[in-house]
Parts: sequence; structure tokens; C-alpha cells
Amino acid sequence: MSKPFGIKQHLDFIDEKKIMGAKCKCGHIDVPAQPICQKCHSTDREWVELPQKGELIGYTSIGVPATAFVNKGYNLKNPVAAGLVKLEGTDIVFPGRLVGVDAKNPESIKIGEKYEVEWEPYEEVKMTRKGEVRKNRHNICWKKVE
Amino acid sequence: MGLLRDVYIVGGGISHFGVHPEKSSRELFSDAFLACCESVDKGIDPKKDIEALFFGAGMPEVFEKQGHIGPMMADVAGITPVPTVRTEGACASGSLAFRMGVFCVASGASETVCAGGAEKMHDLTTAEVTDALAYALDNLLEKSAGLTFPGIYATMATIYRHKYGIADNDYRGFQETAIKNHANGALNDHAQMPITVEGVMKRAIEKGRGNWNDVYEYLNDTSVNFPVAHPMRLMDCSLVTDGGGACIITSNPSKFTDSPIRVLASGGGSTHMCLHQRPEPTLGSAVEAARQAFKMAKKTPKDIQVAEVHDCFTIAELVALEDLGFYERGKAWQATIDGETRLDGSIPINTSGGLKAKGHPIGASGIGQIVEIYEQLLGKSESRQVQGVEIGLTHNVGGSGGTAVVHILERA
Repeated sequence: MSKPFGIKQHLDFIDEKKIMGAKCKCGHIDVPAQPICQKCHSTDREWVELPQKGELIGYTSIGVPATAFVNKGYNLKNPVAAGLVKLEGTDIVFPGRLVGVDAKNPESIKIGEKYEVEWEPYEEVKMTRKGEVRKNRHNICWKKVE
Repeated sequence: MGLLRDVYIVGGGISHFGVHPEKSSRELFSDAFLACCESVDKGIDPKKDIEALFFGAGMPEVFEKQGHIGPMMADVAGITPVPTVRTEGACASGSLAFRMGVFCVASGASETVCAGGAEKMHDLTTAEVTDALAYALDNLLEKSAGLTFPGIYATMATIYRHKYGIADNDYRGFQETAIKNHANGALNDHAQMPITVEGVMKRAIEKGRGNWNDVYEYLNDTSVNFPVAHPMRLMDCSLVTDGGGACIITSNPSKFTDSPIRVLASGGGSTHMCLHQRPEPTLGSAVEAARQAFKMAKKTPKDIQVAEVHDCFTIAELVALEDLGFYERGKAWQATIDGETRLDGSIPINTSGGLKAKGHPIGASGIGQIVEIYEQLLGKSESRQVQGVEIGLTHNVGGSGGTAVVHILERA
């Protein structure tokens, strides 16, 4: 039996360095996976693996980041670039931090350029009723293809 | 599709929008409620006349560590034991409260209700406010990429420029939006920044931060107008604001005034939470809300004479003008540069100064828009009055577009 189609399974696949989607028999692919097809409402679906490269369709370079990124050393003098990449051969778009670009000179970042996934490992620490739970996870970053 | 009976606004007011260290959201709403009652021509007895309270609050749980804010605000207004409902749709929370109030009166459940909203945002640091607002993004998918609220709209801005062939180093459409909204805000004594961009520049010169020949030189200097999230610079961003708003909705206007404003239509919509699931410079939620509103009002975009639109970032105003059908896709940029949306233009937009200059206390912003159009239609907007307007529109967005609400109002 295949895994349930949900956000937790989506994140588990990312930790396995895979971008997976829920493909419906109507052809529509939901990413992240969900039990009901957003297009036709069918629950008849299967997991498909998606390409880990594509082209940049929009971007930004953030000088005033959220706390988690301030704590990583990002600020006005060291902005964090992020963008949306359309996965090759699909209409599916995935966000991620941009790697290998000059975030201080954002006009140098160009829509249409090619990017590939770089997996960024991190440790998730959660406090639960059973105490502290630690888990090794991954984020998707987009690395510019030279 | 339509309201079951005619619904009117007979009073409206806002607190001062700004930085109010001495006030919580309770006192901000109190200020707005008093101003609202004061505006009712024939007077209102809140205890006797108001039958329900609909209250918009974006995230008081984060900003003030306070939930269950409906009954608290009924106490503030002295109207317990009326039933209350708190509405939440991020930055569209206030318009949702208004919409629910309109529906409550239209259904016949109540004759007269109050719709209000408030947000107290200045008790946190900038990073904490950024974190708080990011609760309205997709926590799992967008935040891990480093995206913030300004970051999402900034990404939309790069998509907009690319799609419509505008150069990567062209900022004019954004800059003229900010210049216009600050010019309007300078005429509004309830605004957080009642100052033109030229005034902001002169203040910076006086403080010795630099020297610039004109506002464009100032806006292009990233040492002062720094990129919060490129290409959205400081002067492209709305404000972190403490503020409240209130209005009175009724099916029996003659009890309160001889010059009511009729609610012609209320439209609402949703779209995907994440920008990457709809990576186009448009908000499907706003397109749907506008479609519903124009259909319900039996009007077209050409009929609208004045509008308050959701300018949380300058790009958001350009997208709003196109989503509402005021301009074709990609055309709001040049129209804004040409001055068509100024106070003396063909379609004055954000006469209050908008979220950009008036301020953006997220739970109250939608009510603030309603109050501005209400006053414009009554001819009460003083130095920023648009002459002879009879029909106006409000457009309020939650999150990066997940929620949108559009209202059309007319002088009855």
C-alpha cells in the first residue's frame, strides 16, 4: 500500500532528497501531496517523482529577514536570495533559497536562468508533551547551474 | 446572487493610525468606536441600537498574546450582552467583519450591527513583526525558503516586470505609487505618515543623511531607501501600525441619518496560499471577489469613481488595479506613471494615503478603507475630497492573496 498523501509524507520525501507529487488519474499533480485532487476531486492517485532542476521564474533578495534567517547571519548587508523555480518539463513551481548568486547585487539575478536542487541539511528541534524531539531534515535550495 | 434586503452604512470612524505605546487594541478600538458613534447624524444609543458585533483581528494572539477578542471588544464598546464574532483572514480580517455584518443585517437576523477591527503591532521588534505576519504564509513551504511577506510580494514584482517587458532596473511604477499615496496621506490627519516623499527626503537631508536633487534621486539611493526585499524598497512597503476602526451597518437608515451610504455589493474569494502555486502577477481571489461584487451591484469597473485598494506593497496596488478591471494586464504601471490614479486623475486610488502612508493595522485596515469611501461619498474628506463622487469601491487582501474581499458602496 502506498503512503498516505499528505504534507508529512511530502516532507519525509524531502528528507530522503526526493521531490514527490500526488498524480491523479486525470493527469493533475498536487505538490505537496494531498488526499483530494485539486482539479477533479478524485482520491485515486499515485506518487510520482519530479525533476530536481528547472528555470527561475521569479526571485527576491531579502534584506530584512525573519528571525530564523537573522539568526543565520542574514541582514541588510548580507541579504538572503530566494526564488521560484519551475521544474523541468512540468508546470510545477517550487520555492527555495537561491545559492550561487550575488544576493547583494540582485539585478544580476535573471529570470529564465537554470537552477538545480541543493539539499540543505538541518536539525529540527521540537518540544512535545513527551519532551524534546530531534530530527534530521532537509530544505530545498536552488543552486544556479553554471 | 444578492443581498436579501437593502443595507446601509450610517456611521464610521477610525482611531489615529500610528505608533501608540500607551494604547492596547482595546483603546484603539475605543477611539474608533467613539469616532464612529459621533459620526452618526441623528445619534446612536449603542446599548439599545447595536444588536451584534463583528470584529476583525489578524493575529492578536501573537501581537498581544490575546485571543477570544470578540466579547472583550463588546465590553470596550459597552454593548455586552450582544453576540460577537471575531473574523480572521490575515490583513483582510476587517473587511471580513464588515462582510459578515452586512450579511447579518441583509438576512434579517439583525436590524443594526457594528463591524469593527483593531491591531496593536508596535509591541514587538521588527523581526518579531516579520515573523508574526509570516503566520499568514504557508508555514511549511514558504518560510523554509527564507521568504517573508515583503519577499513574496517582491517576487511577484519581479514576475510582473518580466512578464510585461519592464527592465530590471526600472522602478518608476513602484515609485510613483508611493509618491501618490504619500501625497494623499499628507492630507490625512489620521495617517501614520502624513508626509510627502519630498518631505521624507527633506527630513533626511536635515538629519545629514545625504543630499539629493529630487525625490527620484532619493528613492534610487539604496543607502537610505534600502531593499527590504528587492525590488521592494523601504518606501514601497506599508507600515507597521497600531489602529482601530468601526462602522454601523443597518437596514433602517432613516433612524440614524438622512444621508446614508448603501452597500451595493460584497464579493469574496480565495486562491492558493502559496505564490509558487499561482506564479502570476494576479490574485485569483481578488478577480473572483471583484467578479461577484460587480455582478451583485450590476456595475462595471468604469462606474467606480474612487477606490481604496490593498497597497501593502506598491506592486500590490498595481496588481489590484488590474485584478479589479480598472486597467488591462500590464497597463497599471504606465497609468500610474501618467498620474491617472492621483487625486486629480481619472480614477483616484487610495485617497486616504492607503496602507502605504495611512498605515496598516491589519485587523482594522479593511474597516479603514470602508470608512474612507464612506466619507468620500458623503463629501466629508476635506482637503483630499474627490468632487462629485457617488460610487466607490474597497479591495482588501489577506496574506499574499489567499483571501480577498471587495465592496461597492453608493450614495443612497
